[in-house]
Order: sequence, then C-alpha cells, then structure tokens
Amino acid sequence: MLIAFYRILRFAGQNFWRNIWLSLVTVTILTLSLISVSALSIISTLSNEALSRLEEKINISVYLKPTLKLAEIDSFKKQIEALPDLKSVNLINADEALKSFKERYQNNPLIAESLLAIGSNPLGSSLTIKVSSDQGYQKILDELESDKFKAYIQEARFDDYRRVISTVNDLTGKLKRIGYGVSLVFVLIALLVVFNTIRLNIYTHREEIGIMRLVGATSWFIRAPLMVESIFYAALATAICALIFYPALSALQPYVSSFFDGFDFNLINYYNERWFIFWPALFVGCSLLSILASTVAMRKYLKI
Amino acid sequence: MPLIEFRNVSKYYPGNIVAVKDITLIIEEGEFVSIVGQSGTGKTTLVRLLIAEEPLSEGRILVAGWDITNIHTNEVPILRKQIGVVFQDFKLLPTKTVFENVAFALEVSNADKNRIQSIVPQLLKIVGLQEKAERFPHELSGGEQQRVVIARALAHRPKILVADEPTGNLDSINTKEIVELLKKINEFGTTVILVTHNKDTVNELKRRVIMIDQGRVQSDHQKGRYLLK
Repeated sequence: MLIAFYRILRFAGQNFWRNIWLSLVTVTILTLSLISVSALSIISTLSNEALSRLEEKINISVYLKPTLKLAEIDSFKKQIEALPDLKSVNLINADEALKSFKERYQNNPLIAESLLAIGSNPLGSSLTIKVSSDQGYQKILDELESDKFKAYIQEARFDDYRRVISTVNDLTGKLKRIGYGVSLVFVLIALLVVFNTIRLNIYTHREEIGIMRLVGATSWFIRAPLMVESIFYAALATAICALIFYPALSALQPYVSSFFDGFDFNLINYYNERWFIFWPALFVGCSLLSILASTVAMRKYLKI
Repeated sequence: MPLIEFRNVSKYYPGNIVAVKDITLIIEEGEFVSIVGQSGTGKTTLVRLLIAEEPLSEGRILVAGWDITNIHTNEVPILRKQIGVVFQDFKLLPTKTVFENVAFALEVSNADKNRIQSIVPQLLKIVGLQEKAERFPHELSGGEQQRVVIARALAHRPKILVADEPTGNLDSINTKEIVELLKKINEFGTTVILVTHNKDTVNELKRRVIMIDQGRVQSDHQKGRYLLK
C-alpha cells in the first residue's frame, strides 16, 4: 500500500514537473481564486467587527439633576434596574463625570478656564443604560419620560447608531456581493483551467496511460496520480495565498486601526488565532474544486 | 479445460460493419498458435476482444474457465496480468531506460523494489538484453526494442503471450530472432498466440495455423501452412 502511495506521488510529481508551465498557470488561477475568497473573508470580518462595535455603542445616557443626594440616586438606579429587557446599568457619579470630562477636553484651554471660573462641579451623576434588544430602547425612553422619573432626570439622550449600522450594513452587503461575484468568476475560471490542465495531461500521457492499461494497472492506479496532481495544485495555491495574505494584512492593519479608532482590533492576530480553521478550510475547498474539475476531465477524456 | 475458448464470437461496429463473425476456437495450454490472414480480416479485433480492450457483440470468451464476456472494468487488470501483449508499434516509453520500461509493468502492479530488482534482470536475460539495461529505446534497434516489449509482457509471468504483428516493423534477421524468442518462451510453458500476415514466418514455424478471412475462420490446421489465396 505504501509502495503504491509512493509511486502515485512520484507519478503525480512527474506530471506536475513535466508540464511545469501549464501547472504554474493552473496554480496561479487557483491562487487568484483563493485570494479573492480571502479578501471576502477580510471584508466580512471587518464588517462584522465594525457592526458589533457599533452595537456596543448604542446606549441611553441619563443625566441626573446635580442637586440629587446619594440616596436618591441609589433609589433611582434601583428603579431603573427593575425595568425589563435591561442589559446593564452603569452609574457614573459627578466626580467621575468631571474627571472624564477634563480628560476628554484636556487640550482645550477654553473649557479648562470655564471650569475654573465656575469653581464647583457643574456636572451631575449619570446612568448609562444598555438594553438587550434594539426595540427595547424606545420602551425605556418612554418609561424615563414618564412623570415618576421627572424629579430625577435632567436629560435623557439616546445615542442612536442605528442609522450608521444600517449604512455599514448596506456598504458591506454591497462589498460582499462584489466579493462573491469576483470569487465566483475566479472559481469558474479555476474550474475550467484545472479541467483543461488535466485534459492536456491525459493527452500528453496517453501513451503512458495506454501502456499502464496494457500491463495490468488498475484504473485507480491510473486515475490517482491525476487526482493527486490536482491536490498538489491546491496545496501550492494555498501556500502562495498564505505568503501573500499575511503581508497584505500587515499593510492593511494601519487603516484598520484608524478605522477602529479607540478599539483594540488587530487583523493579523484575528487570523493568527483562527489559522487552524481558516487555512485548512481554504485548502480543502480548493482541493475539492480542483478534484471536481479533474474528475470531470477524467470522465470525459480518460477511457480506461 | 481449454485455456482460451471463443464460442460463436461476433463483433460489429456501428454501421453494421462486421469485424469478426461467429468465431469458435479452442486453444489449449502450451500451444503455439499462429492466427493469419490479410490486413483488415479481423485478426487484431480477435486480440482486442481477448484482452477485453473491446466488448464483444455476440458469443462468449473464456480464459482458463473464466468467462470474460461481460468482464467488469475492475477485473480487466487481473486479466491483463494473465495475458502479456506485444504490438507491432512497440509501445515503449521513450524517457525510460530498458530496465525502467520493463520495471514499469511491475511498478504499476504494486511490486516492491526487491521483487523488481530480482525479476527485471531475469527477464532481460531471457530476451538477451541484460547488457543494454541502461539504454534508452532510441538507442536500440527495432528488434531489440521488440525484445524489450516481450520482456515487459512477461513481467507478470502470464499464461498467455499474444504477439500482434510483432515483426511487422522488422527486417528478416530481426524477425527470425523474435520468432526464435517466442518459440523459446513457448518452450517454457507459455501459450503463444502469434498474429501475423507474414507467410514465411508461419510456414517455418510448422505449428497450428488458424486462417481468418472476412472475419470468419477459414481453416484451422495443427501443423498448418499459410497459403495465400
């Protein structure tokens, strides 16, 4: 069995090498297909990440009256926490709010001067409310506007990122559709090229194949090197794609960092953490594509 | 039990072309049989039917009791190991040496390296090419190339050796050498079927001669001669 395997590998290698230019064209087309699929994966990753970050940003900021005492604030918070569909309620007291305000505008001397002129902390405490579903925000806002909370609330603001989310969704949807289209074109070209390569291989080896049949080779032994050869193409294309992929990610990272301003998201790390799924999936997909084209070519042209 | 049995075998090609018609033959183990006839009379078709290269249209073919009439594709390699075949056009791989060409038959059948190293020199000795094992086909004469093909055909120690016009491309000296080699192989116990239209070769052999004409058996003589019409 091992001997047969070794000989099949050897024959496949010979096929590959003896038609080196044809093999290189096939590998190039498969590589282009893999690159387009990888690009699609990057677009998908970035859009999913952007959307989840934006979703995290949706919240209701409730600014409390500065005159409220600590006990009143606690009581209000408890009442809010009792409302349904809440994900989290985070209290920022007046001192923390001032500190954060100063940090945010540390480069703005006008604001610093104004704060000095006021003398005391003009900011009140605030609550940041996150809701577990999109629809829940309006309910909570309605609740906050009811009379029972009027005594506590100075202003309630709903930072609505839904329009941004919808824009990002639309944009990534379009990008994905273009990506799918380009990938499909490359996949179809790859199918045709692999089909043609194996067909030409069968043609150039027709004498050898005829002799193999004559001297008692099984049809499996005749087909297997062609099949293995198509897996060689896939392996090489995946390797070349990986060699292009990581430098491309490095080049892309500064733009990603500026896009996710303030968030720690690293594309290279993302794919490094998932290499054991991503690359085998690309290789298996590419091999299946290649094997499919070879099988069709063999069915059509290899008369055993 | 006969080694080869053709029972009312016919082969038609599309357009109602009759290649062979109602052939009934029995070839016993150890025989040396010449199948003769002019070009296009169906001799090669008989060989192709025997090695399951083509399906027959009617009748049955049995090899050592094995009915190969409707042989499955997977079983063809088993049959081919029992029937060594030699063709007029050699069918050698030009990029392989003499040794590698003979070894190729064993390689494709999963023979291990040790077996190949022991069998191939023996085969080359039988055909008298042990000194030219490292030569390439283009460095050999036509007769030598045909001897390599015979060595390759014997690689699986077949029961039957079918030689279809093996001397068609050879001069008279090389023809004699090949025929002598076939006789030697037959003496070792292998059944030899020689398909030819070479009258002199057949007449010198003085063995069984089956004459085919227009796809039918015209005559079958144990110590026959090839008499031209």
